[in-house]
Amino acid sequence: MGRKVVKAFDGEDYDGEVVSFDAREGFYFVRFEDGDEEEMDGRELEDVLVGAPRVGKTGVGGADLDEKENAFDGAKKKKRTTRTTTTADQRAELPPANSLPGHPSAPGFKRGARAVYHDRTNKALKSVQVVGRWMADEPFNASVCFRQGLDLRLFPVGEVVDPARAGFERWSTKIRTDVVPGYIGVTTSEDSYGKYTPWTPDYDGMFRVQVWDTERAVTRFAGEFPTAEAAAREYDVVAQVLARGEPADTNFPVTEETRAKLGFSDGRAMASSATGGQGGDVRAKFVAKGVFLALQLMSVEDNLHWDAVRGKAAEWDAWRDGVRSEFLHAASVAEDASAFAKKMRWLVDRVKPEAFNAEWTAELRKTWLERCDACVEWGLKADYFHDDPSDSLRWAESVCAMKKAPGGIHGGKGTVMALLTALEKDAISHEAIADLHAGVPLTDLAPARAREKKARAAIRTRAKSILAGDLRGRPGPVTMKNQGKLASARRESLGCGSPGGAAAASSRGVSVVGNKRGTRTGGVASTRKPIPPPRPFTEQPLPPGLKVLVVGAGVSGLNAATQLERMGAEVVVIEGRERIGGRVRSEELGSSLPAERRRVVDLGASFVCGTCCDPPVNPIFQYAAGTLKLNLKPKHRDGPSGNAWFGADGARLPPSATASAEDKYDAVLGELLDVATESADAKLTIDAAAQPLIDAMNPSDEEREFMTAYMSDLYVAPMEKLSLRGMVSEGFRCVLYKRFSPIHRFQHLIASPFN
Amino acid sequence: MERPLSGDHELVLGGYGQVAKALRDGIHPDGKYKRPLRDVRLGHVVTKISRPAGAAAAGGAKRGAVCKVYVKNQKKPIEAHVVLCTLPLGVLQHGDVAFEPKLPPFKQIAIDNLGMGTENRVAMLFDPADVFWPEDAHFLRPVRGRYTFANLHALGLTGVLCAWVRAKHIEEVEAMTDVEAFEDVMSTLRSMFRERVVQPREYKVTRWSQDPFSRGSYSYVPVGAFKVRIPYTGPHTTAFAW
Repeated sequence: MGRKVVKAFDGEDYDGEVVSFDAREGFYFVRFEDGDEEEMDGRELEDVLVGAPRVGKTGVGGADLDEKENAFDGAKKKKRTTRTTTTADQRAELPPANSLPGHPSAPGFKRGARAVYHDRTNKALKSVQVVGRWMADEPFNASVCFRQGLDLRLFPVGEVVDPARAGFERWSTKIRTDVVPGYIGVTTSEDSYGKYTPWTPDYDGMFRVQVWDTERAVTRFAGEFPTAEAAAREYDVVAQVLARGEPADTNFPVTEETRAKLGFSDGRAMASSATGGQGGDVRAKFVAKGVFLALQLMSVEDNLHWDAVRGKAAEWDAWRDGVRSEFLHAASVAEDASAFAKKMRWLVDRVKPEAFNAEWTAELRKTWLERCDACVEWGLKADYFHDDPSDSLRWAESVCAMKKAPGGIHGGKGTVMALLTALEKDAISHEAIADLHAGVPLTDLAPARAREKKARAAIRTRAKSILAGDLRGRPGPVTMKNQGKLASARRESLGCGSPGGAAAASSRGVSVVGNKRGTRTGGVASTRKPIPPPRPFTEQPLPPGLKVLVVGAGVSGLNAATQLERMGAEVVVIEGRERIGGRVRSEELGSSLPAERRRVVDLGASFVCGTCCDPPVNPIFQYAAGTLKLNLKPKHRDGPSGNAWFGADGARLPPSATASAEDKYDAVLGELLDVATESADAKLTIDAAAQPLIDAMNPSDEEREFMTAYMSDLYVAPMEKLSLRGMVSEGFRCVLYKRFSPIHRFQHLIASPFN
Repeated sequence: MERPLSGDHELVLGGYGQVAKALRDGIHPDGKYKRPLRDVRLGHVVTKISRPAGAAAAGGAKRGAVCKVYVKNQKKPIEAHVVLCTLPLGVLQHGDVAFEPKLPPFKQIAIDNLGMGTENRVAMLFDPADVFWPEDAHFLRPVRGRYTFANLHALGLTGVLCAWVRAKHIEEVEAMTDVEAFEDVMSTLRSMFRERVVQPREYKVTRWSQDPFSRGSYSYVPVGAFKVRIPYTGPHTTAFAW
């Protein structure tokens, strides 16, 4: 009774006092300075109590997100028991955990600061208490282990963070870019019930380094350490590697020495002494892939139960250290995917058959091992950062990729990416592992495996229905004809996140296919989502009698002139041509023909780009479709509805003839995006970047010709002149991203054993 | 900060020119009222823009300070407090318009560092009954040759097929006469569709990079460019293309 509390609410701290305690219900009554009262349980009270030591805090339900993401992470909570033990001596040598900067009990830590993270499952911003800089004492909620303020890494790429909404003035409106990797936190270890031991100053368990993989929205495990400092230092290392030598937020100051140890010799990039310059960039790319994959692999290992594996603890420890030193730390990151495959193989060799899911037969396992032995490629990063909305579909897909006959690109060859995903998502029976943790003996795992089989069947049904066109509730079989439609629907749904948009795209697609001849009718308004009204026009105060001369009567000049005139300026527009419009040049063809046969054709600008009805809405689209109600027709660049190809002899190529080349072209674009978004230097041209990627695909002459032609159609200047970084970073990115449609990767599902 | 806009690329049936016309007619975005621009002078070729000293910054409508814009074949310059320059990037790069005093280096650097590309077209109108090309695909792409074909017929412009000159061959095709360019396109079509090809009713050829008022049609980021903020208008100042 009488203890003081401080609670942050709406950004302000309120002082209060504990006035009574309800022993039967276990609630404390707290009265605040402004007269408010609140009931709190013990845990809530601890959060706000002034000057109290943190005690006995049990885990909160932060793991929801993980559980919903996929079934695998449910099992993840049951950890293999800790193998390493710490001697008291070891612990005595190092400073106690609570002396780390940012720890609640460390000097200078301000309580009550709140951080915001994005709950991807519920699509909402959530506010959480900051408990440390990179240290978290809450389960899974590594999401709190960032500094006070907005951590952009927690937001989806491209999402605008509104500081007003989040309650921060410090940050101006920001958009998360995709160059920042996930972040890492250190947390306490779990007990056998999946609960995290609370972090108290006298905590003597293990400290785990966890990486939040923002792209897949799961935490990854990066090692376990006896002391908070060791864990924090390990975090620093991984953080630097993930940031590829760029400044990273670390617990301890980064010195040149530690940087050199990690291979970041010069000011900026990865260890590029061996490869140099551009090679360094490419190398950095591989490192980023290797790190994410190593984290994935370590998480897989971390989830295995002792009963489910063979081998001695020392062997497993050595394996773990090997993965960490070879792939997680930059110093000796192997560009060699086969070395990584060997690590995977070692693990699979030691998992007992009972721990594999029922469908993972000996034969399939053998196939997997063969692929693993032959594996020399990392795979596309785009496969890892797959942006398909359906997790289950992605899962089913990776399995199919594994089972697909060799020869394809996405996993068919057995890339690390595909093999590891198949291992994580398909091979290991998570239900069985969970049962093992629950005390079920190894010989009695049949029910668990049956449960798993049933769950998988459900996932597959869903995947199939999606493939059958049931995207957002629009049934219809996938034929070659409406694949493009599906692709555009999918693109739209990815781009806009709006079911209405997807439906509109599909139905417009139908009208394009079905209404071949004759005049096209049908308004935009009937199928399109309502276009939001334009932003209210804000008049700027102008000096009275201001004379403005606008040079050029193109769209920019005319628009500026109308707005200025509306604000009271005296505007004169002068234009060199004998017409207005500038590069908008619409001319009528067929002057000798009757009026209904004439056509107005645009010889300049013809397409309104970015016609998405969700904000930010392209103002020109708003004006053309919303205000002027002009009739717009979407074009398709890709897919069967987008292209008809003609071979060197002029004959039309059937879609089957170009499928493999399209597949490879997609892969090249995906890789290009990787290169460009990560590390392209300003001097790299698209051509120079693309050629080695094309070469790496081993295309036939026809395929190369196809890819070159396709690429030359991408933009208005020769690829030898275009800067990769410049064009991908902003405007051109639309082109690449749009082209890079995930639908191509679903094609192999159609002929898979699942159907 | 610009952000790429998502969504489709959509053809404006009836011509993009409708947008320009609506802007000149002063149709307000909310559609409620219109007030046409009072003074739009066509055929006025600007040769020089001179700004008074000290008013170089945009919006510097100092008392008495007046900008002068010199127009070809006119003795007297047009005067204004503020000049809003929406000249295309290609024209700025070509130096057709003199600035006095010279543009500040950061602007000049920005101008010099961007690239101006060209998208040329040979638009052809056929009789709807004559359509000999695939009617559903939006693009017809020969793996070889100078052209890609935009099948505007499939997009609602019945009977229209538009050859787009591929970036590598812009200069080559611009050097041809209209008839030569058209014949070149037709021979490509003949290699694709053999004897089914018929003559169009009418065709039009563009040469954007030779157009003195454009000198290209589409800006791009060439190798070696870097970011500079430029207080100009026009497509080359925004990331998305329209």
